[in-house]
Amino acid sequence: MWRLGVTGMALVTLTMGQLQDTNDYFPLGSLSQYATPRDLDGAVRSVYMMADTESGERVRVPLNPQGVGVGRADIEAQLDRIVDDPSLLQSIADAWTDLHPGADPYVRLYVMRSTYQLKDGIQQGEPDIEQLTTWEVRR
Amino acid sequence: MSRGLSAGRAVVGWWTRPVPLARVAVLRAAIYLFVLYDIFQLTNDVIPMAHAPELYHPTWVGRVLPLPEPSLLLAHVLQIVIVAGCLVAATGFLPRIAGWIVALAYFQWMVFSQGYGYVSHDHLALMVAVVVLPTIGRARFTDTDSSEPAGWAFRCIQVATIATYFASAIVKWVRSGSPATWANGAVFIWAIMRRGSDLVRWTIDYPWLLIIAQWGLILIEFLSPVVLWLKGKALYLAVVTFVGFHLMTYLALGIHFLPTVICWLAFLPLERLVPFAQRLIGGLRRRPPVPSGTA
Repeated sequence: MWRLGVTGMALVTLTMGQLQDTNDYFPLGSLSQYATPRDLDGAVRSVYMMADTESGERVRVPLNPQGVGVGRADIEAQLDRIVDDPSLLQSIADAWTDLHPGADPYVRLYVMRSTYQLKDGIQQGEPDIEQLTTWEVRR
Repeated sequence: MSRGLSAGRAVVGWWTRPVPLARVAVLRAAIYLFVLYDIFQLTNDVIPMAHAPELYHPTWVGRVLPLPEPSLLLAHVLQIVIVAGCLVAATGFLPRIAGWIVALAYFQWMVFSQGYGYVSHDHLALMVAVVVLPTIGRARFTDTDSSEPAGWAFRCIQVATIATYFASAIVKWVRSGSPATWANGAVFIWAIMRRGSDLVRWTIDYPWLLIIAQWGLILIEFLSPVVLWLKGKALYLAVVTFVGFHLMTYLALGIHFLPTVICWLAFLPLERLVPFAQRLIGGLRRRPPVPSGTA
């Protein structure tokens, strides 16, 4: 009997997760992968990060487990929080030096966004590039 | 009244339809070995992300339960516990104790992994599997009995697998206002422009083709619960269809959903692998050693 009770509670939570459209009930949250509708005349935005290194190069920050640990989707999900408080980016510079001790350290980080325009689903020209925020790395 | 009673009995019967214990033994080995692959290859971000604890922003479970903050030491301890627990549990030895230890440690691991903003959607069925498997108890590869508790556990894994698709169709509806708005939109174009492989980049010049594909996807997602009642060849065809879909998204976008794919095994008569494996092992044992130099 407890089995059916637990099953029922899990199914109710899962259903609420979908109707409220929230990931917060993980692992019973919303299955919202690619659920957001996109306009055929809309824009395709993509967030990425760049960094100035100690040796003066401008490089792309590898937002993945082999790079700085945190992924692009993590940055996109917390974008408002990061723009409000760019000091959160310090931990990305720290993670880079911790995980790659011999590598060229970051001295400044940039959160960037590229925007492609669509018309009838077809890409129109080159993307717009914006800088959303920046952070000077503390040592 | 009696009609209500028999309907209730039918529901209970459906949730606890007995499953052969040998099937349990095979699935258990597959799931626990996959968890090892998961923590070292898929959710291996827990260790590097422990270097950025300021960005830890856990989901509800992580905020409500008095769970620890992420740290490198804890991440490594969890890793060791999960490895030891999975290796024991995969053999079927101490199925309850080893199983519950894995369930607890793996849950904490996943709360960390999903606690940095992005929450992935491919782990629902696997996490359900890890929680329900320890409730079954002893099951050997050579057992010939069936069990109702095993039936419930398998049904939970099956329903969680299907929910991964059906619920995603519901969210598309909730977010878009109607399924047609989603299917007639530019989701696939958007996905392929952001992370499409060279194999599929050409498709963004043909929006109508991607719109047809979107209709196909939302249709099989809405129809997915039917699979719970399919048998025989129809069931196998359904499994191949869904697993084939994941193969395509992997080739197109690098998204594989392997934690869900592995749970499709819960739909298959895995116990048939046992005599096959026995013959294989027996054959190897009986064959006399081949002297080196002769072919």
